[in-house]
Amino acid sequence: MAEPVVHTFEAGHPAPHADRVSLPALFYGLCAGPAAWGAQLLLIYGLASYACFPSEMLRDAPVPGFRGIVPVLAAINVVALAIAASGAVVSWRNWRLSQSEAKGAGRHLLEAGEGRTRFISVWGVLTGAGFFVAIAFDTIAVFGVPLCGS
Amino acid sequence: MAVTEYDRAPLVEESTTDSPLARKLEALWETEPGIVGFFTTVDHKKIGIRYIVTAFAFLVVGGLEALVMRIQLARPNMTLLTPEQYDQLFSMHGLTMIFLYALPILSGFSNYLFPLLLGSRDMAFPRLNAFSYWVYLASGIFIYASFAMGHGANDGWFNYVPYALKAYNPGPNMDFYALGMVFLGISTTVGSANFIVTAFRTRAPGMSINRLPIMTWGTLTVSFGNLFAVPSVSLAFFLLWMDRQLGTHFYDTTADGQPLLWQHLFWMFAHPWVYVIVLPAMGMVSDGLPTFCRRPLVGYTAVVLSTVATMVLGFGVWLHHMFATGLPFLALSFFSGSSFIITIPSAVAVFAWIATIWTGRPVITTAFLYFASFIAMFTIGGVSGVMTASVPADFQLTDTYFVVAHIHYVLIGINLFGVLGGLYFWFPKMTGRMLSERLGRWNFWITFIGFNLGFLPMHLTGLFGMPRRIYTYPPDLGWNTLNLVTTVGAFMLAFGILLLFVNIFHSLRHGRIAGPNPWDGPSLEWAVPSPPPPYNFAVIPVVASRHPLWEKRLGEGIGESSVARGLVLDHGKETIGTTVLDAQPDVILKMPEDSWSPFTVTLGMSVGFTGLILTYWTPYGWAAAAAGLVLTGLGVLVWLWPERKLGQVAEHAHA
Repeated sequence: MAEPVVHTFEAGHPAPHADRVSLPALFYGLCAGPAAWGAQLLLIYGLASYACFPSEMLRDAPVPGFRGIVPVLAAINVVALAIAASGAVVSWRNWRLSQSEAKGAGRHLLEAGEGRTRFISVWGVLTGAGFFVAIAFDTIAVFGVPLCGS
Repeated sequence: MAVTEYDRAPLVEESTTDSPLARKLEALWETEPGIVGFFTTVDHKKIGIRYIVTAFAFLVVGGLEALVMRIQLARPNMTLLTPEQYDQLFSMHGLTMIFLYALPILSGFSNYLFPLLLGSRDMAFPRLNAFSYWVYLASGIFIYASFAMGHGANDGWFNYVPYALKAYNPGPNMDFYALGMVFLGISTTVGSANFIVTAFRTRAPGMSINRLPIMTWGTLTVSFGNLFAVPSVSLAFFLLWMDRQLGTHFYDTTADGQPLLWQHLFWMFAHPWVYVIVLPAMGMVSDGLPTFCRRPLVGYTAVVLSTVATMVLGFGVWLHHMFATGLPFLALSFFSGSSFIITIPSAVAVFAWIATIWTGRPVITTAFLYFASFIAMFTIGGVSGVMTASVPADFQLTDTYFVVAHIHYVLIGINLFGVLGGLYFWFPKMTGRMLSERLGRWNFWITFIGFNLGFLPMHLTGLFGMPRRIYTYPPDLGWNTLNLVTTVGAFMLAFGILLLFVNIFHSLRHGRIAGPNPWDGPSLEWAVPSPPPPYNFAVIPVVASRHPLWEKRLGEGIGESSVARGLVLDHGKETIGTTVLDAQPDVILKMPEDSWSPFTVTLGMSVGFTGLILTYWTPYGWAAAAAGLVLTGLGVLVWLWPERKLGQVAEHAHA
């Protein structure tokens, strides 16, 4: 005889600590790093490229109005670095709140991925830190590579 | 799918494939036999196998084109091909392998496996799934019609302007390619949307986002990528076609057009595309390899994240294909940085696979050999790729055979080897029979040795200065022996692939009966018979971990999965809709019957695109294009006409 669906499985809930971390916090932590990286890449590429290659020909020096562009590029990168770092920090906080969501500590989480809230939190820590490094690479280039010339 | 029932609580039953419930479901879900069923089926398993067969057919055609080119290049000053014939061959070879084989083969596996891996009964949009296949087939035929007429694409797969413009390339070759790519883009786009909704909304209850099989993650990730990348290339080709046929000047330097606009639009698509055609294959390896290592994948969380991160970073590296275009140093360096960074997530996957083998108890099968060799090929292809991330190195390597070697390690090593491993792994599920291991070993070793014999020396050919895309070369440049070795390797590789087909045809008739779970696999597809019944699961399973069939031995997860006992959904064609993050059931989805609409809409679109190409010869082509538009519109109208069975017609209020 068939039975109704409610309370008939022993599957448990995949995210018992979902109520401890808000969804906006979870997704800010996850997306801040990649979003900051994507935005800064498009901005600094566009500005650096236009400064030296505004139309048909590559120029030896920046076009007028773009001579002071390097500090602007650096500032954009600093802001992006701060956003990526904030994503990692928020995710770290999310992780602290949800780390006991399933059995085992960090290693178990990396292996099995159990506990949906802490799973996304750890992703956020890694994306925040990883994209911080990616932005840092571009920041080194801002200070170490000549603006124009090819 | 249509959402109709939020308040009916499904019953729970234990059921098998020979129960009365299963017989009822069989009648509900079975495709009509014969020619009608052939054109109308929306069964994801049939569509998946069609994708695989069609993609392999294109692989064979593209492979034969390569062999003809390799004969031409085997010795210096060969005259087998004229320069124009060679141009068409390398262009058709490239676009065939990259667009008509590499993604469609993965779509085939994903189509077949998605609902089985997810514990569902079909893709979220079954008719859209059939439509995606028919459009893929039609666009492939459209593109190859040009070749049959002697007007095949002749500017390489990346088709640079200004050579692709009418002034320099007056034949219809480029028009076929441009319109064919716009046509194919429709298939890719709708297929991607379908994969995304399927993965997010039709999972078995309990299969939260952190319990998805990695192959599902791979396809889900690249489907998002496609939705961002494909519009770029469709636009690029459409602008090209307008420049050629309508007199616009998007790329025309004589009228302030920008040739670099083509390169930007194309590579904004094409570099992410490289990841699109490898990430699902990496997912197949990540799911298949652990089965043969008798342990779960090491570092699941990190590997999945690395898959997603690779796709995201893949959108920030397109300029490394344009290092030699004269763009400013600093602008280039940003993309150089991203191209170096992308090695980090790629390396995570490599180390996870190696650690899985290292800490497991490997069972050496043909599938395992393909998966393991995939790791080595991945490393070689990755290292040669990251060399071109360095601007000064790229200045030396660009447009040489080094880059050709690199792309073949990516496409064959990281796509084909993963696919062949996946084929040996899932063939028993698809057909109910095992592939021969004995023939499989011959198939593997000949393919493996042939591939490396052919393409490893090609790196040297490039370093010695041989440019790509030349139809012959003089004898005194030091390239003769290397080219001969590459040709021998290419033929050996082709023979290895031939052995695969022999194995398939032999095993389809004489292969050992597989049973539901011949490899002792951990995921849901191995819980159903081989081949699966039309409805996949008699009852919708409930899962409590990432490895429902290994749960008892692993002890991971929070509760206990229930595979044989699950939700009964038999009020017509139904499956369960679940929430995005935690896969909690929230709605019963009504699934459509088989339908002519996907095929007829594709026919209408084919008439439209054929009309557009006919405008090259006659203005009456516009009339044909308009007719195609009308047919397509009518077909869509019929397709979308509300159906009571799908709950798309409001019911009258009961008194």
